[in-house]
Amino acid sequence: MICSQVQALLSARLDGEHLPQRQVDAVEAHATGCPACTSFVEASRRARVAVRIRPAERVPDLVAPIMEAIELDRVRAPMHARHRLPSRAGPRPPVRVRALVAAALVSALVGSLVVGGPWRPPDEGPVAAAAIVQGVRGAAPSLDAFRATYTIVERGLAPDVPVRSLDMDVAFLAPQRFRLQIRDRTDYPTSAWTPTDIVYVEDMPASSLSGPTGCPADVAGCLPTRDTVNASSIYSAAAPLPADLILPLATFGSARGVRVIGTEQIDGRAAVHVEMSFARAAPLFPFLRLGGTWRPFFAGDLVQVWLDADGWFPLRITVSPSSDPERRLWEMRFGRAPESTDAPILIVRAVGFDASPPDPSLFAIPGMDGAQTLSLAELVDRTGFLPVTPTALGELTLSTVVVPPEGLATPRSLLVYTEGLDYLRIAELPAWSGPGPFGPVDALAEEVELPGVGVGFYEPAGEGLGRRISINGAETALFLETSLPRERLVAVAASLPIVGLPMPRSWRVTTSGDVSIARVGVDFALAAAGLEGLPGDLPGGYVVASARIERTEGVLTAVTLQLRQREVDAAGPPLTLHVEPGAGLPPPSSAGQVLVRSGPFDGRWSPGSSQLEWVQAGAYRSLQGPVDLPAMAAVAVAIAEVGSS
Amino acid sequence: MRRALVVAVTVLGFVAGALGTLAMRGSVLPPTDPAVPLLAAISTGTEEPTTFLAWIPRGVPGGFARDVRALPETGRVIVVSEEIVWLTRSWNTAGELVDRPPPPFRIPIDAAAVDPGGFAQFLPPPDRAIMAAVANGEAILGSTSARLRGLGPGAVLDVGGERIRIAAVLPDERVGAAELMVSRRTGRRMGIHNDRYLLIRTDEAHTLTPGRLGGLLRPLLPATLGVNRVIQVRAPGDTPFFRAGDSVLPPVLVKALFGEFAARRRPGSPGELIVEPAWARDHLITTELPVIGRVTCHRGIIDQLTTAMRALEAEGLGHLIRSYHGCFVPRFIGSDPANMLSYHSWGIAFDLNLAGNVRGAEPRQDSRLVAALEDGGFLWGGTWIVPDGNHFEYRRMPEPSLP
Repeated sequence: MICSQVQALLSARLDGEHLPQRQVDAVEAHATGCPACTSFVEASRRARVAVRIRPAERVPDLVAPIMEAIELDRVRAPMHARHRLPSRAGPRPPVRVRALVAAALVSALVGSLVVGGPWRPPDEGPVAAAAIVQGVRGAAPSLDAFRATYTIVERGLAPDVPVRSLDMDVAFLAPQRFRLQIRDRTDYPTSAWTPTDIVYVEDMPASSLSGPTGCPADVAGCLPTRDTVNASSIYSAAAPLPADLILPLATFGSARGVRVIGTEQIDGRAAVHVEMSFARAAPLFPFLRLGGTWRPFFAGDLVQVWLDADGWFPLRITVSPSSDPERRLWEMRFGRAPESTDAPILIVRAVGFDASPPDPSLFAIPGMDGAQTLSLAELVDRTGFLPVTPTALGELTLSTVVVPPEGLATPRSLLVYTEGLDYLRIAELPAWSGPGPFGPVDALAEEVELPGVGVGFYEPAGEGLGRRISINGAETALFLETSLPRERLVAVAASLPIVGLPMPRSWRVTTSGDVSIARVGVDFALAAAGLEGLPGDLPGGYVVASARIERTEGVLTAVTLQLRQREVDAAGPPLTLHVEPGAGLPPPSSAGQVLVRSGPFDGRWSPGSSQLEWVQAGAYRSLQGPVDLPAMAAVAVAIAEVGSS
Repeated sequence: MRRALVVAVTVLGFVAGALGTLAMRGSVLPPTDPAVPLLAAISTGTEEPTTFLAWIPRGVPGGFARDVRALPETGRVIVVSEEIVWLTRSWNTAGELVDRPPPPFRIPIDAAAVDPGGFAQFLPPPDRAIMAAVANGEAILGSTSARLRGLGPGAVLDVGGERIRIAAVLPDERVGAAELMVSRRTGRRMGIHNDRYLLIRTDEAHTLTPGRLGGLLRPLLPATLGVNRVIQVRAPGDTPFFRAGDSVLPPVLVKALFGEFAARRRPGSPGELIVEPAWARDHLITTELPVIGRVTCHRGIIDQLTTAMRALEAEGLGHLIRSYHGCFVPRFIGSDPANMLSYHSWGIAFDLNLAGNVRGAEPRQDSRLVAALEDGGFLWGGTWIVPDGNHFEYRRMPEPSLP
């Protein structure tokens, strides 16, 4: 063995990799008598960084990955731009007017395209992305039926299954009925592989799934299994799963993170070509979450989408590998050759579509037979109360009334209002006594004012749910979830005959010994943290949504701010900014970290936990969340600028 | 009339779109990113480790943590207990029932218990507040565990005879890759008694290495531990997860790779399990392999086990396997319910040539046999701090040959 080979293996060993015994023997035999390798081990141990992409041939160089991140950021710069078109507010105009508005929007976009589009030069992309958002949103209410057939080509599932071919049928019929069927056409090398044949049907809020459970999409190297599920549920709180393949409402809930490339012809149809990260485009891949076996994709993978310029449904979607460090670790861990960033690893292509109504029997859920749907009068008989209903519904109509099965924190009644592809669900539970807001709304959700009602607690769309508001009334608790924009949701919530109360103390304050943690107003927390001048709209679209303070023996010891994106969690869960007195960094808590020193920063980046910590003006600050270093640093700089002024 | 209106609106929209676009071109500035100057000017450095993991096979002996705390070189020292507890039901934040294994089967969960105040000091400051909720009886899910279960903050678990609310989800590396973390008080009610490992922070005045700390700790181990009188000390960067038995995949990753089963204890033999028949039917296979003969293992390892056996056969080394002692054997390690689950329970581990290779003895496996199986993606127990020379288990998919 030569030194470079030995040092590569030593590096892998320091990364926690288990080496075969014969390699251990060979390495130790060499290293014992080799001063260069002995000093390499010492230097590497001191380095202790997590940014190890593959077995190194020398001491890990930290500059390269960081500069790579900078380059990535430059490429993505338009995604981080801060232009935003004003959103629509107030009640929706009547259908005919909306049709005209939609026509105007579409023609405006066409006019924009004719003069070269606002995405030339590329830095101007976000303006067009906002127009696409408006176009997609405008199309939702009038969409009553849709059918499409797609082919899926997946590359790189396993060494002996390099390419897979699958067909996918998607169907939608108002109100809120969806069907997604996948037929696996792959010739597998052995019978140990289970074809990914899936049938998923949703008749909101009921759903059924039949297919192999297989492997979670994000667990690299998961092995195929023959486990099969046939599950159906009368009640699910999740947003309609296949909806974005019909109209990408969730994906284009916000223009952030979307880069417009231009217009092209796809199979003879005018298409708008956009690109975004895999994390951002997640709702476009509902089939990955339905079971079966799929190769892993990574948050930074590049997704290109060609949207039909007429109907806004996806004509083609491709995913190309990023050079994400996580991907490199996956490749190394499972002995895979590095994947080229040039060749797509997933191609989804529309090969047929039809706007005629599909046969309603396609959406039948075994064992349900429509039994879950009641009239309001029947609901009163079953539950003993008349549910609270809004008045500012616009064109939304009540399409389903459900009494969910009893369970922990499940509503006693559920009303589903629909208009085309749009939906609004209102769940109600009288005498709610849970430890936080009713429904899947976090105790740190943003407090919003509902004129005439009081307060509600708002969560943006994300994690399989639409935009949400929870209202805590004296007698009853409500939970609203919708595909509608925030302003529309707030308007509907404000028309409910209920008084929305502030959070009770028991939800706001947790006490343990002499430590208490309390949710407080954002302004109070900003002042306590010395961040009064923090901009209302931070880079990446973040706003301070909520705050809590920590007291020990009555003395304020820390402030924690939760930063969220207003419309949609494009980057995933929120960022957390934590501030507490301190002249130095606390001991590292991650397996690896990089000290960073630049300008106002004297801090540490922990890539494993996406945490940036620094000390400034006698205060320790930590910013944490599932975003990359450039995106994190952009927010951190904005915070640091306030802190230094 | 209506058609004319639509045409008019369309034309106006077209003109407005075109003019608006041209106007915007003149006014839209290229976006600037304030992060770029920061990153461009960044300089980097590294830190000496101040936090260490120390574990002893089969658990931390009584009084050991106290003795470690008394060392002048150590600062804060906490003990982490870990045990298999049993999940019967779970609900997500929307109140939907998520887990409901068919009785009498229950889902085994790798649960850790800590002193919340002490453990908080080993978390980064922003996560410390969560431990107040843990002190009040709530729990933390590890990130892979949360993903497997489809649960997050606000979910509720019926586990270990307790109804537990989830306060937060933390990255696996922050909770030692445990599926669930609770306070020691809650843990005692759930049956989490066994102390598995220590987290040690050095005293500010001292700088230690894993080797030096190991040298300080080893003399503190009681002689009564016998073959288990050994200690493994790790620093950040040495191992992906601070947990006992850190050289093998943690159970939550095994579940992610090979599936999660429900099981029950075998009547009259509490160290052994009966796995839910549906899981066993779907995940296990009984088949004839070259060299080793008839096996019952997880379907997921059959191809690579076959490949490894064929490689041995092709090299004329089949005779190195003198005896095979089973693959799928659902049980706790050592058939002792005080231990964690054996990976034989998933059918991803197998024992060879037991004679001369009993646990704790100097392994006597032929290095060519070990090499062939390691190349096939299997981990050999002969390299563990208490060698288990007959034991092999799944570690990874086979690697291409290194240069």
